[in-house]
Amino acid sequence: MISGFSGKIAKKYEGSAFELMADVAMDALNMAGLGLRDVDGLSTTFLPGVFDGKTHLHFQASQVAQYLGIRPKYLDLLDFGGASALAMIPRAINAVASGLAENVLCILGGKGSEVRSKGVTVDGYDRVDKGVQLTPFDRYYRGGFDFNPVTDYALAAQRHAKVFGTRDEQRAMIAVSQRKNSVTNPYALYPEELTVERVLSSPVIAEPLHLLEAVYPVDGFHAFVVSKRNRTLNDLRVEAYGEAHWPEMPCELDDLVVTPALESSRRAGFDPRRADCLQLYDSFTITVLLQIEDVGLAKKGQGGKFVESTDTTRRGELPINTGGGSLNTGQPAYMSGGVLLEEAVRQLNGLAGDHQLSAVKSVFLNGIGGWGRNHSVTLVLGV
Amino acid sequence: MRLQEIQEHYDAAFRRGCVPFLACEECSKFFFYPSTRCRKCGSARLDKRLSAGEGKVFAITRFRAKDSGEVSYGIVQMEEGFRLYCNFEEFGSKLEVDSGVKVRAIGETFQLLARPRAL
Repeated sequence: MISGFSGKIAKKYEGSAFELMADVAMDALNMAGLGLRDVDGLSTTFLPGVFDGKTHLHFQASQVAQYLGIRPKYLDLLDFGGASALAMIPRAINAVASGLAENVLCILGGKGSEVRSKGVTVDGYDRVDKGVQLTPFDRYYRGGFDFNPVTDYALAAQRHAKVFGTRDEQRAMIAVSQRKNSVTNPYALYPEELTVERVLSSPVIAEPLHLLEAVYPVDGFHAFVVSKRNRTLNDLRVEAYGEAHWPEMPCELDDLVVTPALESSRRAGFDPRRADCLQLYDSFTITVLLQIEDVGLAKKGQGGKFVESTDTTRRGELPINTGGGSLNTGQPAYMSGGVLLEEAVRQLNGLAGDHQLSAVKSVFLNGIGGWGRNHSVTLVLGV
Repeated sequence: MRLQEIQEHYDAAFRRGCVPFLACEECSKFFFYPSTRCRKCGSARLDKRLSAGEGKVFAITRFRAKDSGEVSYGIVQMEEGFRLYCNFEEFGSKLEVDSGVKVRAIGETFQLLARPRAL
């Protein structure tokens, strides 16, 4: 299973994305006791602009292999945005189990700073490169250019407030709890504690969302090695798995207050309360709140009350995002999946340092990704 | 129906400031984002129509953009039953969910704008 891993994050990395990627890959392989020559499988992902500002890398997986000097027997390029990281692991396990490869290097990330410097997000890259098309019907859709992850989640938060009466304070409590979890995480960007008042006094980025409810795009990579033989880490197993891909524009759904996590978690069929902790995708506070409902921790519409009545800090009854999540580490290359997965692997191996929980036997992860919250992957890892 | 025919219908509608949509003659699904196939039942029997432009705010957010000041943006539930994303012109009247709006297309980029119905 996972024989090595690594993650490096910086607000702005002064070098090429390829360079940082190679460093992270080597660190993960070193942990596994492997070298590049041992790698015969490669899985990666890509978003516009995150590799040194390039809109597109032609045959991107091949370019990554070329840079690293890997000639894989198994090669995969996943396109689920923030959910890609979690989807890589069972695919790599299957590749190893079926004899397609012995050591699969899963690598994801890039430089968010390159995109940030252009004043856009990866989902607004068509503003800086007219060759980018975000939908099959951009010509009739992109007149306004104002659809992006911030406005999309803002509209979801507004609908949640309208339909269920969810209050800003309830969403802010998610940011506060995650900050408590991050205080002892050496990878966290923000050392100071947070209060609900401080979250709600931060600038509004799109009503009703505030700045401290949103991730900050950073530079970084994560690498995970899935191997037939594992010399270093605990042997992890996939206890449950499910994915769901909803192609609709969010406005075409019955309402904005559901995500495909509803379906991926149902497919996984694992009661999240049985896990020792959860890592839920946290691009925004509302993202966590929606998943709390969709994975079954609370009934639809009750997520706000859930966060008021449940201690989700790492010392609480149901720890969520035990390292503080990407709300506190920053979001590498506009994808939080690597942050969630690294924290889960650390917790399951007793490697989480000062924020290690005791006796972690299983971790429930859920990743959300895609241009319009299209993809969800539910993964339960156990030891 | 070919995609080009649908595009011509949409272009012509937008040039007149109207909102086009498609109606499936098999399952009666109405949808705005173009396709040569009904995205509910897969039928190619589609009818090109024009919306009356009337609808209600389904969701709305406001934010400050560097280049264009305060922006209102969101989703309108059209009376015909489909939804679309658009910008809002509020003219000082604070739109809310369920406020009545009239949607029209403007400019060469076919930007969709909704303004309070009373105006």
